[in-house]
Amino acid sequence: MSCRLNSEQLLDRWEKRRELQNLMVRFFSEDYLMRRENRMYAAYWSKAADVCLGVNNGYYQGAEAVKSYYLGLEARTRLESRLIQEKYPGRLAGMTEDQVYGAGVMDMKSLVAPVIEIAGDGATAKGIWTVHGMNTKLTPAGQVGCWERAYAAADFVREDGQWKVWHLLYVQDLDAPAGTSWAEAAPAYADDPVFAAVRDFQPPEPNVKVTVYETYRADRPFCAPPAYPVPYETFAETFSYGL
Amino acid sequence: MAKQFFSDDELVERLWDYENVKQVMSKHFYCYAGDLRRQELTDLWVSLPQNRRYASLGVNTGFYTGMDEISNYYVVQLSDLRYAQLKPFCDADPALPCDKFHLGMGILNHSAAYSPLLYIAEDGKTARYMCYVQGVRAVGSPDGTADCRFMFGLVYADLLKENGAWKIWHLILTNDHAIPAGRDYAEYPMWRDEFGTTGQNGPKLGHEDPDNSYLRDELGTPTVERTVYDPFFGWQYLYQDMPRPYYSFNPNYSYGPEGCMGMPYYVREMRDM
Repeated sequence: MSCRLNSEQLLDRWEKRRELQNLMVRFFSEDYLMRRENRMYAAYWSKAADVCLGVNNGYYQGAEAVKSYYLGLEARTRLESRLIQEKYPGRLAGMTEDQVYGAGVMDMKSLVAPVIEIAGDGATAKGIWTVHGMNTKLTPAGQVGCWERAYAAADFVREDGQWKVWHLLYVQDLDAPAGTSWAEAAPAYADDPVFAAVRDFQPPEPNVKVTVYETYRADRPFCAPPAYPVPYETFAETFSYGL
Repeated sequence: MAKQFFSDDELVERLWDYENVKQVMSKHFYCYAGDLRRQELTDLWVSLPQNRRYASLGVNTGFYTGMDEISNYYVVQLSDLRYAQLKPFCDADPALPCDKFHLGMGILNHSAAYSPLLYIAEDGKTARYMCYVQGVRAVGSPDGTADCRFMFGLVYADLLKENGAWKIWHLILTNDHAIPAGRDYAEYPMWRDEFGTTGQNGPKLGHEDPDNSYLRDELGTPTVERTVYDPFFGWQYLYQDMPRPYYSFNPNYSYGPEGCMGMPYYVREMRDM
């Protein structure tokens, strides 16, 4: 590609590539670490009708389905924060639901090893990142710290001079409690009645139920990472991370 | 002699050189995690005959040299290992074929580059790269248990441009620790033993320790056997091997067997004499 582009064009593509790197870091930081689930769809996703979010157990296909994923995250955060406020009233006593939103919840995901390709026509781009994460999960027994290893792969589309997420595949390779061998069942801690509501919480399911990627277990069939992008001219000649 | 001036066009080219080298190394990690090592050697490594001959892959205990030796170790021996790891599942379930379509059952192999350090030679022909790896690895058993490890190590690479594309020429994959998941770091035998017995480098280097020999068999028999990385000494022996700004490739500082990788400073000084 560099043989066909002059320096100015190469610089422009470098800037667009940098935008993609920043976009994904902002996306994952806002969504998970900073608990801004309520603005994710509007801020980052494409207006295209065929937006798609793939997770381990299926695809959220279409705008309404993708929005439902974030509503589920938001509802869970709201529930967890309320229960943590109830359990640990100290500094949280008397605070409103919005003020305690996100308290006691941690979901850190760092993105490394990017492979990014911008289409020759500049209209779309593709990228894959490895995700190293650690998070707390609120269980009926309380908070449990977990290790996460995952892949995030996305198709992007240029809309109004900005990159937008078109198809996102976010699949966990490992999601296991810290301090255990990852093939073992999670430690059986005693339930705490304060956190009982967590057991009944059901987030919106993907509207296309299919096993996209299995998290690790001792007899898991081999799971390779999603394919990394290769140079392409137009999206029609490459593969999609969506359905 | 350092180059004093780059034109705008050269600077733009170097800007992309940095991106492209990092991208090649990122692809290495996806291939590594996906057992796509044949694809990696074909797509990411040098392909011109004169470069293939001097390509090398370093492990803790030495260097595999030339693409045939590299392929035999990196691809064929891994395939043999995967068959051996599949066999217990097939023995436990006779309906499970012990074939290539089921290789990798119970395997988790996830690693990626942290803190990449990279310099492009001022002549633009080669690049030197280093990063740290915080990986995870697990090998499952049919009884539902698994040997789960946090895998740490440093990765070094010399890359060169072939027909305008960056290719891996010399790669070193060191292993530092293979810490069992769910175990206290302080339980690790290396720390329990006053002088450390870094058995993963194996008896050939005099470090045999049956409790700490996780990678010993996997390292195979390198073409050039020598200590490339000894976890006992940590990274201080690698200080001089960090990439630094340079004008052009110098074999004495290569990440291949002709370089000094892993040599103690006093051996390097003797060599320089």
